[in-house]
Amino acid sequence: MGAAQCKGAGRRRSASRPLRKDSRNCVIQMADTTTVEPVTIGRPLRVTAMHTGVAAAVLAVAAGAFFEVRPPEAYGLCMACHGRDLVNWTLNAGLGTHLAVAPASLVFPVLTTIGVFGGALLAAVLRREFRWWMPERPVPSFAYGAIVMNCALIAGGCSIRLLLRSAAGETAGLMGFAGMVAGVVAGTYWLRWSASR
Amino acid sequence: MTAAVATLVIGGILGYLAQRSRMCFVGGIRDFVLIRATYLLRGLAAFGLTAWVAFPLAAVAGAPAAAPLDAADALTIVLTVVGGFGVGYVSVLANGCPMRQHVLAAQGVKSSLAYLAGFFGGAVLFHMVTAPLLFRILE
Repeated sequence: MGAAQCKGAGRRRSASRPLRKDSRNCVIQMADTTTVEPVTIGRPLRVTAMHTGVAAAVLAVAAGAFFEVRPPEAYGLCMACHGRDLVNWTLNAGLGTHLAVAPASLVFPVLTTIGVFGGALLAAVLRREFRWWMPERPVPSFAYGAIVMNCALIAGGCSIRLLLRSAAGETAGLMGFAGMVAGVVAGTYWLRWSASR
Repeated sequence: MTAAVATLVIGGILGYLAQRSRMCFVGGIRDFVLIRATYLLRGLAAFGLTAWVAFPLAAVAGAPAAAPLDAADALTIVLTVVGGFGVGYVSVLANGCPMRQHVLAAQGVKSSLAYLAGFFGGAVLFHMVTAPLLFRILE
């Protein structure tokens, strides 16, 4: 149902905003596993995903090359590993445990996750897009978070760092990224299948 | 300390841009498969290509030499592929990559806040349970 509307919206190209409309205004709601994202209608986006991708890549490489976010290599940007470093470092400092952290975070943890959260909060508040959305199913979301973190730590990187490792020329990273693409495609088909059932 | 301040600033810039652009690193592939929308996919491709160009450029610009990439053994590659598959599959179910979930949580989506709680709890779970279990199975 939702997907059919999206399909139509994606193909109908108006002269003013040809391509952005479908990824912004179209809410994909399939099965009951996805969350409805807050969508603002009206004002065109000034920052596109491509801008963000380029900026993220430059910042990630610069972090590793010039700001001591290494070793390991290609560690400039990763939500899972940096989140792990922050949590484990805090627990180690507070409770005296000996959980593993990356060498880059031995002295003081990397704070990417806090930065992303703060930056996004600032953007949402400034553009008046902040509002509370009730959890539809918080328990599955909690479980998804735990599973994604565990899988990401097994793979050695979240979706961002897998691509970053591939770009750095690491074979295992490239294989992991291929596995991630396969997982996304499989998950999407599963969602579509379960929605059409 | 340099790393902490730098990542905080970089994360802030990235979070702002990601909120403005709705960037998601798995959503691009999902949208392409579902509705052939390429908006997010172009962001993903731009990230990969820019990083691919930027790594040699950083080396030219005087970055310390990268440690030699140790040849990954078969087990590492299998674990990476399996873990990557799990990341992709579950991220689609959760409606976005970890970075997108951080952004959504900052926008006030409460199920993404629950996701983040699971995400950070999962890190402890990994080092307490999953990693020792994997070691025992694979030894």
